[in-house]
Amino acid sequence: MAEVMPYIVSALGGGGLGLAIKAILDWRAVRAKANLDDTSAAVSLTKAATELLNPLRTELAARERQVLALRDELDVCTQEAQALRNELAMARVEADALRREREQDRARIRVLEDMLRRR
Amino acid sequence: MMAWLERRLRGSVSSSIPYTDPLRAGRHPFQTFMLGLCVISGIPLLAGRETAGSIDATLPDWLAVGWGICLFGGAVTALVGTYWRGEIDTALMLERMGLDLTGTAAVCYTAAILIVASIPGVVAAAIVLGFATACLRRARDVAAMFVRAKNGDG
Repeated sequence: MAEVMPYIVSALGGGGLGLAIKAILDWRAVRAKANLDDTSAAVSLTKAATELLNPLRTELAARERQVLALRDELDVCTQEAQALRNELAMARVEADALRREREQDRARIRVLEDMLRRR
Repeated sequence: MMAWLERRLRGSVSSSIPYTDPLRAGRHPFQTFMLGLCVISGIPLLAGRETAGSIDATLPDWLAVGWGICLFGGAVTALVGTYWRGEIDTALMLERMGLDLTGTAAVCYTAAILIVASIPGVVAAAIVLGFATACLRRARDVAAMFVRAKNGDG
């Protein structure tokens, strides 16, 4: 296997060199096109980079909408919870009033029973 | 003391992360670090002092030097392109070229490790192959921008 290593490395090196040459050719092609379009290569590449970002931006926008929807839902639930807490507080006040009334009624009943026993 | 340190750190925090932009993604700290390592490891290699054992064992001298030039030259070119202050198209071209060469050299090194060390060398080979994949992947991303720019509306 070690005997074929120089051939493997030479082939890989050729491939790497080919990729590097392609990089230069692509660069020249972009510059030529930019001159033809009367723009700059930097503008073309920036536009290309922005287009590559577009799918990510769409996903991000969808997630932001989800977050906003969840936030609205949370607000509604918070308001409902507050309303229920208010209702509970009122119910407690009513229960206390009823308890006091019951105590007063019991006290009246005891007084009346005492009066009946004395007769 | 803590308040002073906090004030100093607050002042040094940048409000932007430049390498989130595809045009400047090469400036990611990890990429810079790995390419810097390649440059550092290539210097003694080209000076003829320490060499990679696997490469020496499997390649003739001239090819080993060629591999060293590919690794060192590729890493230097990629770093120059990454931090190029001129036009962005030149910067991206240099970065892509450099990463292609560095990735190729890393693939060759992976093959050499597997041939020399076989099974015990699988972990080291996997690490180097991972680095090669990362280099070629970033080069491919840059190539995609060039292809779009070439075929686009301008």
